[in-house]
Order: sequence, then C-alpha cells, then structure tokens
Amino acid sequence: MAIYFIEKNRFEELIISWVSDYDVFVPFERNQQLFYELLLPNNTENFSAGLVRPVQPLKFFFNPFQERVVPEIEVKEKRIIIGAANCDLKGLKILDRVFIEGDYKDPNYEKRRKNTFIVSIDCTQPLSVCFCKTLGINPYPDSGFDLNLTKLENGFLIETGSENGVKLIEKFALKPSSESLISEREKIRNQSSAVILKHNEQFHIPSNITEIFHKLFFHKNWEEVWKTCVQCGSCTNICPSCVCFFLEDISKKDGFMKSKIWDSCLLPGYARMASGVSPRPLLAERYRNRLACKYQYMVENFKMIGCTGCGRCIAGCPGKIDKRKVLSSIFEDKVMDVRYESLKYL
Amino acid sequence: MNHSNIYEPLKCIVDNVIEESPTIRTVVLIPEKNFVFRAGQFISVTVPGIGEAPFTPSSSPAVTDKLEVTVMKVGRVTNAIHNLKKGDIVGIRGPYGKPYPLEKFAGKEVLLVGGGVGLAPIRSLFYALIDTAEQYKKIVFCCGAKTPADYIYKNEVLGCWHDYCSKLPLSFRITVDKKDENWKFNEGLVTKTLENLDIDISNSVAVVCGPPVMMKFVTLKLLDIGYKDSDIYLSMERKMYCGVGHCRHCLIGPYFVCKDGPVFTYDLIKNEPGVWA
Repeated sequence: MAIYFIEKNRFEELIISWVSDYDVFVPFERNQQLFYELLLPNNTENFSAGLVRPVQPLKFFFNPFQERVVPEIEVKEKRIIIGAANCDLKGLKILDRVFIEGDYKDPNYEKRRKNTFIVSIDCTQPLSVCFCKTLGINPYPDSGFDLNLTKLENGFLIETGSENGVKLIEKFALKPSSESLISEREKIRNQSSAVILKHNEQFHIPSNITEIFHKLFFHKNWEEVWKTCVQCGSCTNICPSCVCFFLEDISKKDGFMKSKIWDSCLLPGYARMASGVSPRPLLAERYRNRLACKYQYMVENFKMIGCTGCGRCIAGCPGKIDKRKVLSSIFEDKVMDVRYESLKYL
Repeated sequence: MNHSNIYEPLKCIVDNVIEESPTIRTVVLIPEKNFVFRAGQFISVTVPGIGEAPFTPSSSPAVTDKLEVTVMKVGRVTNAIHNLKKGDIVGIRGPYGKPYPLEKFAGKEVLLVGGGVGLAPIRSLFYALIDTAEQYKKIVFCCGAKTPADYIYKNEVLGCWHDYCSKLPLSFRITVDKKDENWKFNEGLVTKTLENLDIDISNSVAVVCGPPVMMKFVTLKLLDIGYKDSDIYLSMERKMYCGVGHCRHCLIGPYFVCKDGPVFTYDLIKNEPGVWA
C-alpha cells in the first residue's frame, strides 16, 4: 500500500499512543533472545523490534495452550503485536486455513483474529537456525500484516498492509518514505536473505522438497535420524504452524464443558485408539510423520508448505536435532550425526 | 447442526441400553431436536465428565427422532457408555464426514461385508438400501463374528431381515469363526463367504466394515476375486477429537478420516502408511 518513514523517538511515541486502546506486545531482549512482553508506557528501553523473530510464535496469542471452548469464552481484549517476522505470518496463515478458512470456524480463534492487529518486521539479524529462504520464504513479508517495519539507523520504515494499519498511524501524519530509503530497505532485505542462504549452504534442502519428500518417505535413513528425540513435544509446542490439539470433557451436571489443549504427534498416545492399536507405534514413524505433515500433508491440505523455516524446533530440541541435517541425511542418502554442537543467538 | 459453536453438543436422553453381546451394547438416544444424518456419517458422543468418542450411528437414517449407537467396550469412554441407564444425559455432535455414496451404487450389485461390531454402520446402510431397494440390481450381505454369542443384532441379522429375501434381490451369507451346537449357518472366517459369489463383479461395489485385521484380509480377498480398488468402500477408524478437520489426529497420509472419510475407496488410501492399523 504505502511506505512511510518515522524517526526512532516518534516511533516510540506512536506505539505508546496505542497503549491506551490496546494491549500492545513488543519483543524485549532477554538472555540474547527476544520475547514478547506487554508494553508499559514507561518501559520502552530494551524494546528490540527489527532484529529477528521472537522466541514465541504468533500461535501463542491466537491459539493458547489450553482454553475452554464449551461454553464459549468471552474474547474482549484488543491487541497489537509488534515484531512478528515473515516466518510467523506464514505460520499464522496456516492457522487461518485450519481454524477459520474451512467449513467449520473455531469460535475463540475467529474472535481473537478480528481483535488483534499485527505489526511485522523485516529480519535484520537472522539466527543461525533460520532457514526460511531455503523454503522460498523471505525474511521480510509481502502480505499478512497490518503494518510492517524495517529498522533503519535513525528510525523505521512503516509499510501499511491493511485498512486497520492505515488507521493505526493516521493521527501521526507520517511523511512518505524517500526513494533512497526504499532502496536502503532493499539492501537490508537482500543482505538478510544472503546471510540466511550462507548459514544454510551446508544443508541439502531442495526447492521441490514436497515431491522429493514423498519419493523418499520410505528411505532407510528415517530409521536413524530420530535417535536423540526424547519425545518431549518441544518442537510441536514451539512451532508456528503445529495446530494439533485434543478436547477434554469437563462437563458438570448443569451443562457441557470442554477444553481444547495442545497435543503433540510425537507422543505415543497421540494416535493410539482405545483398542491400544496405533498407526504409528514407533517413534521413528512418529518423527517422520511430523516432517511429512509439514512438507507433504499440509501442502495437500492447504496448498502451503507447513514449515516456515523459523528454526524454533531446532533451537528448542533437547536432543539437539537439527532438522536441516535430518533432511540432508534423507535427501543426500548419507548417514550422519544430525545433532548440532552449539547455537549462536543474537 | 444449528449450533454456532462447533464444539457444543446436542443434548440427548438415553432411552434404552440393549445388550448385544458380552462386550457390545446398543444405546438408544432421543435427541433434544430431530437429528438428520446419512448412513456412513459419524457422530461424536460425549459422556459428561468422562470424554468424547466417535461412532457411526447404527440405526436407520430415515428415523430422525431416535438414534442408535452400537458400542464395543474397549476403553474409558466406551466403558462409561456401557454403564449408561435410561434417563441419563449424553451429548452428540455431528453428523460429520462423508456418507456412503448411495447414488453411485444405483444400478449396481451391492456386496456388504461386516464383521463383529463393524456391522453397526452396515446396519444403518442396510436400512437405507432397503428403503431404496428398487435402485440396486442385487444386495448380497456377508457377515461374520467370532462365535454365535458375539453376533450383534441377532434378531435382525439371523432373523427378520431374511424375510426381505422373498421380496427383494437380497441374499445373506452368514458365518462364525467357531460355531456351537445350535448354529444353523456357516462356519469359517468371513473371507470364506466371499468365495463363489453369485455377483457380476464388474458391475458391483463392495462395502466393508469390521476390525482392522478383518478389513485388511477382506480387501485383499476382494481384490483377489476381481474387485477394482475404486469399488471397495472401507469405513476407516482413527483416533479423533474435533470431527471437523482441525485437530489432525485422524490423518491417514494427507486424508482426514473425519472430513474426507470415514468412508474411503481403497484406491485413495492404499499407498498411505499405517492404513490397517
């Protein structure tokens, strides 16, 4: 839509002006990682939008770990989330496909999606685990945001992506960005893309990953790659596009009551039926299934690849499994240690 | 379903609980509002405070003010269903999934193969077929159970349904794995009833429902005697929660049992991992 420039101190004024009408969440740096926290008017000091995706995916805001679905809960809060990266917008798009774009709409998700505005960012400091670019996803968004930020030396470029985004900045009468700042943005974007590609040179992730994945579904290396998985469910919990949940019935005498709680396909009970029979009794099968869901099944279900290359499942794995090495092992037909040694954060 | 909340069940009163076999009971439910479904679709039954599980109604889809589900006792929820008494309250959600495509069966010879508690959806289908019997050239009903005591719907399958045979192009092939002294039908696995079928296989569809191992061997037998994989209709079973394609528990490869199934033709799923689990 349109691109504006805003100086650093006016940007802080802008986001603080939203606090009176909205719960505003922004990333703060904690132990060299970014975490969303509620913005308080007197606390913008360590605020760090414009570096990289925060630890939490957007899923945490729209599809919480556990919530009541019967009877429906009231969703009143109006929120603005600042600092989501493109990988997270793509993850949120998968959630939209699941929860509101099909025949059946999830009641709570639909309300939250309407009441929440998203101010995304261009990544300027991709992490060593980031691999969006190898899956054809850019470290900057082209859609799915209300506003998008690019961090420059003295301020931010703000691009509007929706009518709601336009409304959020209209009081501030911002100046349109100059051509030179827009080319500066191009340069930053290209740099980030190049950094991500460089980080991932050693891995073999083909552009036609879905097709190759399908062909190599029964590759013998699937027997090896999962071996340090402790089936904790970290990767599914932290994934921006993992949506699986179970329903718990907590009905009382006076009416039905149900809760929806995240589940993980790595857990042995996930698909096990009452008879004790499971379609995937082995952890090797469950591990492969998680990746098949991302690279194959979601593509068939939603016409979108289910993995956004955010690297959270790598960073969060206590078994230190680097998914990129897993894919390389299968695709290159090479038995290898799929663990990483250490990770570099900000 | 008129509810705006997809997870809100429709209240039902338990009208009767019928003991079918030592491990299987049929629960007759009276829904708060008339409940419309088609044979092969499933519902999710909530036992308040215990949990929810998917079942295909076993009663005639022509009846909308009563509903029957036939349940084998295997786990927590099914155990609670077995303990229901007349007057108890349960909830149902649905109907979900794709029904048996009766319109595709028109003009064909329909082979029904049911085993054990798998007769439940076949019973519902049977009533739907009988109601539109003039559309099908022939109906052959093969069914099996472990022992005579394990047969469900004894009065119908072993009794009154046979009365239709004089009026309709309908025949039964009934077997048990192991007979007793009073058994007047066949002995042997249900696959044995598929030998020397008096059916024009090139103009036939086969509908199979039963335990996974039975479905597997019946499917292999059907392929063996000349059925095309696209003419074999299987009622698949998976762990389910939402019923609407959100929670992803029921996937067979990329296919949702809740949304794309539960009735699948074999050609669609035959190459997916863990089909017969």
